[in-house]
Amino acid sequence: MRIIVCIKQVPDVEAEFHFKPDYPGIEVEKMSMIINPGDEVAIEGALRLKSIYPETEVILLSLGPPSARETLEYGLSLGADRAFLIVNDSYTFGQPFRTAHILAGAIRELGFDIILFGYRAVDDRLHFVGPAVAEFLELPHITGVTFMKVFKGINKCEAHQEVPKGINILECPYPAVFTVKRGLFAPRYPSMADRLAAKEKGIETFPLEKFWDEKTAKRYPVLAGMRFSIAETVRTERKVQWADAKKIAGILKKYKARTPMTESALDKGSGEEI
Amino acid sequence: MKKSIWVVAHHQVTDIKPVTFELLNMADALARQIDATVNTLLMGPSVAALSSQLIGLCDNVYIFEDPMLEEYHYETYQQIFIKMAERYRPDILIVSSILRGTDCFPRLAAHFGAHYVAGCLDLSYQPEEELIAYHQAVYEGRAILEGAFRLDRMAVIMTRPHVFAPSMERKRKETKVSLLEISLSPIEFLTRRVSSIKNVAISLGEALVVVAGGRGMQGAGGFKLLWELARRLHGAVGATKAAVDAGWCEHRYQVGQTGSLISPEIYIACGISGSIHHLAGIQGAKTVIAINEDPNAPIFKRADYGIVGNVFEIIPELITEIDSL
Repeated sequence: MRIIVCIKQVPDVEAEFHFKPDYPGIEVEKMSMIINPGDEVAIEGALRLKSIYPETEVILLSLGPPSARETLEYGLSLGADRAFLIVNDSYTFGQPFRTAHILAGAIRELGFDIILFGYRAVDDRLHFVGPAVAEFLELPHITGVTFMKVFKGINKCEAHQEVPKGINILECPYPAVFTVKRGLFAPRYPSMADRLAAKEKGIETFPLEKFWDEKTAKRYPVLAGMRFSIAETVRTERKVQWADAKKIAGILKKYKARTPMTESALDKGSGEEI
Repeated sequence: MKKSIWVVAHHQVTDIKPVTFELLNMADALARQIDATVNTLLMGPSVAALSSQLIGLCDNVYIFEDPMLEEYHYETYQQIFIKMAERYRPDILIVSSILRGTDCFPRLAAHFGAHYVAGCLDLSYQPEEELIAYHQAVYEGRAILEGAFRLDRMAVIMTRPHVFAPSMERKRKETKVSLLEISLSPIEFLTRRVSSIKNVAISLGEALVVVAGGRGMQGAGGFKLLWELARRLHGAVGATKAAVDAGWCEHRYQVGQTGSLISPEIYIACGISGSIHHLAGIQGAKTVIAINEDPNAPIFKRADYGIVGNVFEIIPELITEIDSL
């Protein structure tokens, strides 16, 4: 079984934030770059499946600048078998069609049974590339997966899909695309020995031109412009008014539930659709 | 030809959900700028009766009823929207990201090579360049992107709930109600729902009131107190990354920092110090109420109302006050 995990190198938004108003909204060279947190969970999901079916090959795939090698190497240190970089000139933000088209091309080239993505990227937050790759490859998709099983004999996957009010358990045949969310798969940390071994494995590369040219680009929409500003909650201080419980209760009065939700509304249970 | 904006109505058994009126208000404002019609797609197993709630709010209501819509399947949605788009050629399709927006609409946009906007905060027209402009929170809420596109092809826009005022003002003299003229072909579903586990009555994105806890809640037991407050306000519970990492509640409740970005009307921050990373997650929260022991906690600089004190004393007091209202 071959699992392809698509990963992206993104700025660490929790580290120091170097903003700029022009594309891509940050001073990339000053930011610390990490693996997209959701993608790390996707790698963990792949490795859990590998632990059940040891002959599984876990392949990492990334579209990114040369610095994305570090991210792929990190993924290898976690236990992935091979890693491919589609070499781009620079960090990209908000070019979802281009990314999905290029990844779909490379995935077709590599061959696959299961394709995993992080649920979303922390930078452009578009939730796009996973389902779009599924569309381009004409495969079924399940988004927001927190846990999955593969039944190899009957060619079936079962996935727990997190939705706003709970979890749906879905099944589908594979090949299929899944976008993975943090849930039961907590990412592991590599040891120093794993880190060194990953360097030995090496990164393979694809030239971008193999999957992308100007003619293809014309098929897809482009934005006419992008400008960035610092978010208001981060930028603006508010004037606090000191209060007591009675005053706050007064402010909340209009939200008071006529019938408070019962404990059981919060409980797990019921097979109804959510 | 006149341009057309389509809005997908959200509904529950007997009501159109308020988010629909937000979307319609957003569509109406843009329609006036670009001279477009506003059309609402009302779809479900049995929804025709709900159309009366949309009269005066748009030019057309299109009803599509099918027993297949009893259960959500992206495969059904995909077919409906592809057929709808081919038949009616909408210029802009506006949906809310709550429910299953991020599951089916990226794929739809990919199918058509349509302009695609997620987490949209507003839409406007720039006449000098003939561009549609929008804002979206990016980098986990640290920055706001202003993007713009030309209406040279269909646009699929997913909006964040609560960012646009819902309007019930019946601005239109006439609203035509008709059936959506498409027919579904039978679908052999590839993805199939086996069962569901329902965890919460109201989701974090949808709730008008969010009661959130941080390190100051000291443990999973502390979060029980937050649930007690939330359920009285028909609200949802949120958590900081620190509280999730400590294992006090599941990741699904996390606000900011790889968790949800939310815009509730009321955000009650309990035992939350107020790091910038967390605050980036509550972009657009209208009223922020903070309860914290430390009067110098940064959260008080971003709060509209503050109570200095022990959360384990203040929250029960607040609950008693609310019960006595």
